[in-house]
Amino acid sequence: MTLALINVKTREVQIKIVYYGPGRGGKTTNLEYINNKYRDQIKTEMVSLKTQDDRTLFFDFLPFDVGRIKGFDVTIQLYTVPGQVKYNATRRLVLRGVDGIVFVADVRKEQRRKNIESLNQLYENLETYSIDLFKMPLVMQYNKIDLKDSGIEILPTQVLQKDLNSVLRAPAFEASAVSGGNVIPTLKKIITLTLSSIQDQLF
Amino acid sequence: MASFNELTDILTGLDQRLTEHETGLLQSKFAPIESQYAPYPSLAPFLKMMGALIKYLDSKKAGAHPEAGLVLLSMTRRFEKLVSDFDPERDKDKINTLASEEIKKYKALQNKIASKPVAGDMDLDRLKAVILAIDWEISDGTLQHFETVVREFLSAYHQDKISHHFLKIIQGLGNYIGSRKADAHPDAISFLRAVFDAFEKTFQTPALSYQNKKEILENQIRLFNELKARLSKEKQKLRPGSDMREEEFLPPALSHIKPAAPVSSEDVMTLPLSSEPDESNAEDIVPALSGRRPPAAPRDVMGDLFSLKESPADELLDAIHMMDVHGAGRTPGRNQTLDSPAGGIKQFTPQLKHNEPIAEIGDRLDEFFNLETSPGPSDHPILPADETVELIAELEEDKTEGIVPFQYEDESFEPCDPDEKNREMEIGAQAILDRLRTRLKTLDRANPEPGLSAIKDDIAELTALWQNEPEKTALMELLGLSLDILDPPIPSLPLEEAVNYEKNEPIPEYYREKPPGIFARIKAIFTS
Amino acid sequence: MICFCEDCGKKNQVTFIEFSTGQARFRCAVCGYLSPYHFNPRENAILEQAEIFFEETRNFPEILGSFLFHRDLGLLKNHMPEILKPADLDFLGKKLARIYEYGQSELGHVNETTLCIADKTMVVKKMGKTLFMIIACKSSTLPRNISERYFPPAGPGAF
Repeated sequence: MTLALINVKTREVQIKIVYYGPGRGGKTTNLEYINNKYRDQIKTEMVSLKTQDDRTLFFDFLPFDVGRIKGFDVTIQLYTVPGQVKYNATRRLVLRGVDGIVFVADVRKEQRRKNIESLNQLYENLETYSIDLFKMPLVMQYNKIDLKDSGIEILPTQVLQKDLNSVLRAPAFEASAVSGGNVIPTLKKIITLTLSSIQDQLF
Repeated sequence: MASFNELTDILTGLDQRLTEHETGLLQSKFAPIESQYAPYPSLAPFLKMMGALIKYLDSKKAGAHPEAGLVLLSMTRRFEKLVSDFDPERDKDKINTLASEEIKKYKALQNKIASKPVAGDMDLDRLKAVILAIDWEISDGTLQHFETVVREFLSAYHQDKISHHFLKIIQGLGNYIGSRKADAHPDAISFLRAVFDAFEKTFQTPALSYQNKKEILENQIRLFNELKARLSKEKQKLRPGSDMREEEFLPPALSHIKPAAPVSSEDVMTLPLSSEPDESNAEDIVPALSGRRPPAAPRDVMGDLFSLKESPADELLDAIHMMDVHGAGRTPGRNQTLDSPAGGIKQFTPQLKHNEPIAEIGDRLDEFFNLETSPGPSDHPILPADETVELIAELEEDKTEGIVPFQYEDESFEPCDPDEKNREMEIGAQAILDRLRTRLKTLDRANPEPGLSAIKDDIAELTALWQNEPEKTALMELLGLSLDILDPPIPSLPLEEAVNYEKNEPIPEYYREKPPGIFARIKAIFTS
Repeated sequence: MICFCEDCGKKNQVTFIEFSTGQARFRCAVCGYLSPYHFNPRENAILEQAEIFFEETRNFPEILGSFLFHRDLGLLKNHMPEILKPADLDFLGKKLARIYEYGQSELGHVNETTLCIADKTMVVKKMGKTLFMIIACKSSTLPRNISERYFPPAGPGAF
């Protein structure tokens, strides 16, 4: 896996964005929504390997071109990681060469601990590549906000902020991936953050 | 006798606003009386006392004790009657008896004058008046007046530590009431009165020793902290998410790497979910890049599987499979790349720089995702990594993006200087520790609840107070964990997450025993 | 039944499953995660047949109700009168299944076990190795059409 890959000859840029978070949090749903909504623009197939129970086995992969920015053709590669605890080795592999991260937290109350553990583990996984999470373009997504109307207990946003964002202070979005709410703004934000972090060298 | 009448007339007409003219008249009317009766030793006490009182009135004037004029008037009348009814040479004993009565009154007045504070009862009445005004009506006027008077007192008594502390408490309470106004807790207002009463007592009782005054002050400080804690608790109960305190304390993510900023978990603006309006019509969407360059052919997934060219996904799958073959413990080398960079290819490690993205990035993405033109970069300040105080205004006009801002907790009891803040925190923590100690000592092990809940509340309070001191918070966490031994978790029953699907409800394990009344219910079906 | 939690990977002795959103799941005793419970193909087939049985016998006047019981996992499907709670049926199923298997072990081949209460019966039919269909019916025996259709000795359409 490569880092932000820039081919100055062909004037192409590839950046890798990983959707990370606890299991069943909505990472794959984000990509599925993006893939369905922008099928015409994306024009590529989404690669998805799932378990019998419809859970990501290895990863989901969705590449697409966003077009030309300042003379460079920009390709975005979206990845998700398997969320279950036992698949950490795979998660670490998927993170190799990551340029930007969307942390998809599950707002359900029972997932509170899992959110925190997942974020802590993300830090450790990046450490194995000598990458500092605090220097990584990152966006927080608090997903499944739609559940508040269905009687399922969810965490208030301020609790999520305190649990997950009090140190990172990253941009954060409430979202509902299943209905598409704030999925695209999240993606746009992480792409913007990632590109702006290399724009000095690029554009 | 004319002098006596004139003197009594002047004394009768005296009021609090004693002037130099009046005191001059008093002296001028007293002088002939004094010279007339000076040769009589038995009358000397009267003359001395009257002379002293007139001198006192002349020196203090409006600041004189209000009873001084009354005592002088009574003394003058008694003296006039005495000299008219008795012979100063012959009735010495009677005169002495009368004199001793007047001496007693004189001495009582002397004591009153001696115990009067430097500022004067009237000044304290000013403070009392503004406090009573707030008690009556909390308005901008009464609050402003209160603030002015308290400031005056603080500057006047900045060297008197006990008085200064009392005044600080009064000021803090006044600030709280001023910030909450109609929503101020009634206990705060009644406590303000109580603090003033205690202050007045120390102020107007010179016989009170310094130690006694200090004890009274410490008691008020303790009550003040208890009130503060009570108000904070009630404030949290009213806010959403307050039940989170009842949950186990979870340290925020990454707090073991860097200390968490003192961000309040309350008062954070919630983001209204901006659902993507799904009104896009497939026919109406103009495909990106149309007219710029021919659209690329759809990717042939099956072809890719058999082609020599590898996609990034293939590379990743290979890596995963290799990991599975050789063992999960094998981790890839750091920054290992399968493709060594060919000519013209540069690799960059993106680093979060918080710089403004160039406009073309936003425009291109908006065009690709068919979004409305996003606001300019200046409207979306990116949070600097090292900035701890942050407030981002929610952009009402931009419905496609929302950023949850941070806000600091509104703390109206914040003292003016950090030393005092630390002192107050220490006092607060000490009080909670004392309470915790007492609760632990008196905990009934046979029936730990509800004492255990109160202990856990104290632990949570201390943890919040010491949130910037990891050793102390870790100790509190250990204490909380050790308490779980007394309060073991109930074996979890199947949670209610399972949807009641066709009457299939989760059955807890212990129900495998015979449920009470089962045969009656079976009989009811089979005999109906 | 030993199953592994899909989330934390720990072993679980599964004695109870829940049906939610149509799927059988068990709750991990270690992490509390609801992992899917996978019946073997034979059991899956029986479960599908049982659904058809419930659907079709819903309107049979002779049938008061029925429920499906798993020897290890307890109550799976419930179509009994509401007066009987799931805990009642779980207890009843456990007793009846035990009685059935005792009779089978003592007497050899057993086709069904019947519990008579007043003038009505509770018929226990075993399906496969682990599943029991327990039917409450008004008559002293299972109506013939139901018996022949759903519980033939060894013919097609049988469970």
